[in-house]
Amino acid sequence: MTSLSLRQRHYIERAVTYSLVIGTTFVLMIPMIWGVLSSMRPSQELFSWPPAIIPSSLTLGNYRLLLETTSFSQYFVNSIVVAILAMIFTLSIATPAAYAVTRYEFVGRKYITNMSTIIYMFPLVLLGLPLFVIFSQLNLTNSRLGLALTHTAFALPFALMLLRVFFKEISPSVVESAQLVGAGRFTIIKDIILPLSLPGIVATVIFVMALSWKEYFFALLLMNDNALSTLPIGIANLIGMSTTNWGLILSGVMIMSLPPMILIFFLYDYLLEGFSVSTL
Amino acid sequence: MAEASDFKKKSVSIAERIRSPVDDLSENQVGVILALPLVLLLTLLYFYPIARGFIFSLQELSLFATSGSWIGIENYVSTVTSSRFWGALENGIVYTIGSVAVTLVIGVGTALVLNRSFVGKRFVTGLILSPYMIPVVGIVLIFRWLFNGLNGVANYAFVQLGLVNEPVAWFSNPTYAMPVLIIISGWALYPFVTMLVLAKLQTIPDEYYEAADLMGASRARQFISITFPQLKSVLFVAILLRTLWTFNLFDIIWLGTGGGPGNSTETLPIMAYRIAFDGLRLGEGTAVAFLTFVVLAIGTGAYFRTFNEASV
Repeated sequence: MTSLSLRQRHYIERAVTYSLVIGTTFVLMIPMIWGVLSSMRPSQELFSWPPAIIPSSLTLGNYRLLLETTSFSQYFVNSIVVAILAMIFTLSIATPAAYAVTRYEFVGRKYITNMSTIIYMFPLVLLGLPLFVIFSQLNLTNSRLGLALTHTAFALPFALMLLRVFFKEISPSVVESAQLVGAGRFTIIKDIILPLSLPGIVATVIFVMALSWKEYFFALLLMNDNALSTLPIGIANLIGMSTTNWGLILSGVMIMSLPPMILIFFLYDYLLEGFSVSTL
Repeated sequence: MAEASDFKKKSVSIAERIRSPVDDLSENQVGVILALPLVLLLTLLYFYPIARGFIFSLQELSLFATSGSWIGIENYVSTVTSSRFWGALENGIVYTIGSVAVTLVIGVGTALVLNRSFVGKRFVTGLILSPYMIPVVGIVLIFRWLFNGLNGVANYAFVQLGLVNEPVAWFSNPTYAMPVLIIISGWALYPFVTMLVLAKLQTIPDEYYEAADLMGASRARQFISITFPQLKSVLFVAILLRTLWTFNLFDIIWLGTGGGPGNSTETLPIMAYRIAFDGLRLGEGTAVAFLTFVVLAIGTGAYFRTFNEASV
C-alpha cells in the first residue's frame, strides 16, 4: 500500500470505477440487447442451437411483418389516445390540488398528503374486481374513456407527489411580492406559478403518459375487444397465436419499449427529486 | 431576481384590471375548492369500488349475475380454511422476499456505482434507470424469450457454465418457475430503488468523506461509518414500498406463468383474479382480495414495530 504513489492510487481508482460502470451497465442491459438483436435477425436463425450471438445479417423483416399482418398500428393508436386522455384528466385534477396543498392552509389538507401512502397499500386486484362490475354497469368496459379513467386514478398519487415538489420550489417571496402589488389569485397562478413550474409540469405530463402507456392490469380487465386493445394487451395476445413467432413479438415489444426508454434521459432528474424520501 | 421583478411588473398591470371573485374567498375556501375534484375522483374510483367490493365479498355472487345471496362471512371462512389460500400466501411471501432482496441488491449496487464520478455519467444513469420505463408486458416477453425452454440463450449459457445439465423449461417447471419470476421482478423493479438511494447519496456532503480521508479512514470504513447510516432511512422506505408493491403485484406473475404450473406460483392477487374471472365466483374472489389487504396491513404494522424497536 505505502509503496503506491498518490498518482498510482488515483489511476487504480479510475480503473476500478470504469470497470464497475461498464460491467454493471453491460450485465443489466443484456436482456434489452438480446431482445433488439433477436428482433432484427433472420427468423430461421432464432431457432439455431447453439444460439448465434452475432446475427448473420440485420433485417427489418419482422417489423414489416408486424405492421402488415397484425393490428399493431391500431393498438398503437389506442395506446396514444388512452395516454393523452389519462394525461389530460390527471393534470387537470392534480395540478390545482397539488397547488392547494403546497400554498393554502385548509381543512383536510393533511389527509390529502397522507392519502398516496394509503393508496399504495391497496392491492390492484381489490380495486379491479369491483371496478370491472361498476364499469360494466356504466358501459365503460371496452371504452378508451373508461380505461383512461382507471389510468387517471392510478397516476394521480404520483402526479400529486411530483407536482408538489415543483410548486414547493417556487419561492414564497415571489408570490408575496406579487400580492403586495395587488395581484389576484388567478393572476398569480397564471402569470407566475404556471410559467415557473412549466418544466415540472412537462415532466409530469411525460411521466403520466408513460404510466398509462405501460399499464396492463386494467386494460386486461376492461378491454375484450381486440380493436380497442392497447399495446400491452395486443402484444401479449400475439403469444397466444398458434405458432409463437418470437421475431414478430419482439419487434412489437421494441416499438412499444424503446420510446419510453429514451424519455427517461429527460425525466430522471425530476424523478430523482420527486422520489427523494422527504417527499414520499 | 430579474425574472421576479419582470413578473412583478406584469402582474401589477394585470392586477389593476382584473380582480376576480376568487379573491374574495378565504384561503380555506380556495384550498377546498382546488382539492375538491381530486377528492371526488378518488372517492369514485377508490373508496366507492372498495366499499362495493366489501359488499360483494359477503355474498355468493357470480361474475355476471345482477344480484347474489347474502352469506355473511362464509367466503372468508372457506378461504381461510382452504389449503389453496395458505399455499398462495406462502408463494407470495417467498416471491416478495426474493424479489425485494434482488431489487435491493441491484438497486443499492447501481446507485453506489452511479454516485462515483466518471465521464458519460448522464448517459449511463439513463441507461441503468431505463427498465423503469419499459412496459411490464415487454419485460416479461423479453425474459420469456431469453429463458425459452427450447433454445433460449439463458439455457445455452447455463449449460456452458455447468449450472444445469440440460436445457430447462423454466416457466413450466415447478422448481424453476418461481426463481425465474423473481429474476424478472428484480430486473423490472430495481430502478425505483436506484432512484431512491441515488437521490439520498447525492445529499451526503462531500466534506464528510474529505474529513474521513484526512483521518486516514479506508473506503470500507467510510462506507460503514458514513454512507450506510445515511442510507438507513431510505432503505427502510424502499423495503416498505417495494414489499407492498411486490406482494400486490399481478402482471409479472400473470404474464410469466399465470400462477402455474398448477398452483406453484399462485400468489394471493393471482388467486383472487383466477377465482373471480376463471371461476366466475366474484364474491369469493373479492374476499381473497380483501384478505390480501389484511395480510399486508398486519405485515406493515409488524414491520413498523420491529423497526421502531431496533432503532431504540
